[in-house]
Amino acid sequence: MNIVKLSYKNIIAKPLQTFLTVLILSLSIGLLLGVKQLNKVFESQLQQSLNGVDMVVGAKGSPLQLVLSTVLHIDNPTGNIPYNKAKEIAENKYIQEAIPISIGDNYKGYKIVGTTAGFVNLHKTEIEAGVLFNTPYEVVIGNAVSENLNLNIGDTFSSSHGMIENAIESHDEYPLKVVGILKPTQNVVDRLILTNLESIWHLHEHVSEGSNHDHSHDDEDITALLIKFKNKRGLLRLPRSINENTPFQAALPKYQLDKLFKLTAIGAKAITWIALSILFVSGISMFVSLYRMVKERAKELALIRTYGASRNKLILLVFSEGLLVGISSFFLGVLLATFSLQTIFSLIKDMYKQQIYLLEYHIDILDLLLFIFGIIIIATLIAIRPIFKMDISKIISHES
Amino acid sequence: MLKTVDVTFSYTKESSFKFPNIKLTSGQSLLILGKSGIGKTTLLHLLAGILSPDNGNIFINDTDISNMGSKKLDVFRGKNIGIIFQNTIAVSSLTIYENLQARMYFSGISKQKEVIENILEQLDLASVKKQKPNTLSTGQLQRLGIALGVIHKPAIILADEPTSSLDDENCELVIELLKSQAKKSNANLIIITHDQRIKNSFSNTLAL
Repeated sequence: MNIVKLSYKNIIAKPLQTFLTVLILSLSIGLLLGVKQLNKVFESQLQQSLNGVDMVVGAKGSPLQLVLSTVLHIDNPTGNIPYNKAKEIAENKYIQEAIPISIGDNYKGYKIVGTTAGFVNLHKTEIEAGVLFNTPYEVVIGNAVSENLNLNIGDTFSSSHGMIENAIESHDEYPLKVVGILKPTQNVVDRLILTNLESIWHLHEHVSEGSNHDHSHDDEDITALLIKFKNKRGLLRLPRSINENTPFQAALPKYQLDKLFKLTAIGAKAITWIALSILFVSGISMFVSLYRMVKERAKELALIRTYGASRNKLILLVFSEGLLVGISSFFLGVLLATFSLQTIFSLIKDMYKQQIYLLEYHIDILDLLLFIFGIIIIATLIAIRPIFKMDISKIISHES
Repeated sequence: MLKTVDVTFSYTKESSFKFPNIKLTSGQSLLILGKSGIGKTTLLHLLAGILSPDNGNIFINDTDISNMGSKKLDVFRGKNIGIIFQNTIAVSSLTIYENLQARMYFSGISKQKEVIENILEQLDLASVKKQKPNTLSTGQLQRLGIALGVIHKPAIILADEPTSSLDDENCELVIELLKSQAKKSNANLIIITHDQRIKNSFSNTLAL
């Protein structure tokens, strides 16, 4: 027998009350942890996928849609722009690099992006196996594409027109050939299929005009230009100048995403406040159960004092009860959050073909553990007050 | 061994008690008789170190507990004093066996198993050792109270009205049990009661 065992026995002697306290405490812990982690993962996933793209130039429309479709690859593009006009913009002195992309086809839901070698560098990755695309119909695939579709170098496949998988409009007669696989990056490039611009143009010529390989491509379209500035000055001048003086639209990914975060942050904040309120209530519930134990079992506590237990031992007993309830709720809450997050992540993986990992999860857990510890200490400190005023003689002589 | 010298105690200015001196050699018993309200329980709590006297000294085995610091007194009480209450108090969430374990744990005794099994056997509680206190009969509870008061072999066993709710037969049985348990650890048995039936069982009595 010792203090911890005694407090454990005390707890399981009142199963209903303990169950209720543990239930709401673990729920609020799970909710807090889950929301915090989701928000963090969401923000970091998007930020990471920006990959240093300072500005996107594309067809007029919603700037957010332009950013989502050309940088994060999660929406339909706003339209196309002529490549020769886009090249003129790319020659601006503030621009360090301008990478053209052309999107609009997919293979089994994975988007095919017509671009240049710069796109690979931009995403801070490199060829893991094979070589970079060189001639039309050669493709380099992201690591997740290779893994999920079991595609290897030398394999061929036919793309479908549009952003989602469909068998009706497929370019069956012009199969694409895998020549390279990219290193994994944990961002959007993992689930893209890259090829050169000509591949995309050829595929669509065949669809619209029939075969014409000697086409000069001067009047071809691209979806957008991904632009990196030389310095901050470009950021101040170029977007406005493009929006006012050209038929195109310039959007700043960072600004657009910040706007998006502000919207999603409201939801996350609301849930966080709800979780905090539940936590507050469960803190009170813990205090009440400790206080009741001190009050209702004053006689037993006085008895233990006649056994030779000091006042500090009684305080330790109350604290130990709080700690046992708090820590078991904490583990239950962490379990709940982890399980829910993994479920959500695997759903996202199925839907968006994007693998997501927990981010600094142990730090969140540690933070929350300290917080819960604080609540237990406060609940104990208030609950033990009767122990200080305890008159052993009076308590044990009542009825005895 | 117990000795008190000029012990006084007051709850308020109006009600104060002055207790006669007590002197017991080791193993000696004492029956303290008195009507209710005369300060019997107060004296018992003073002897147990639960209350501190206003004046005077209380010596247990030559240690003066009247001026002891509270932490030292807690430890001293746990080792040297055993209290048997009129209505047994036990920890409700623990079984009988665990209650005895807890009692020894707080007294700082680590070798427990054999001692507990022994006393359970002696007091006919072995069959209920896995039950909680609230399932016990009055007689079993009374014996549990005795077990909790003597298991740690204290120097002084204090019993507060141990027989008042018992019939004549059980009254005699409990007194015999208390006497034999006290004899085993050579303890001073002090019984405080208004129950005149047990007067003849003790040679050494004190009327308050």
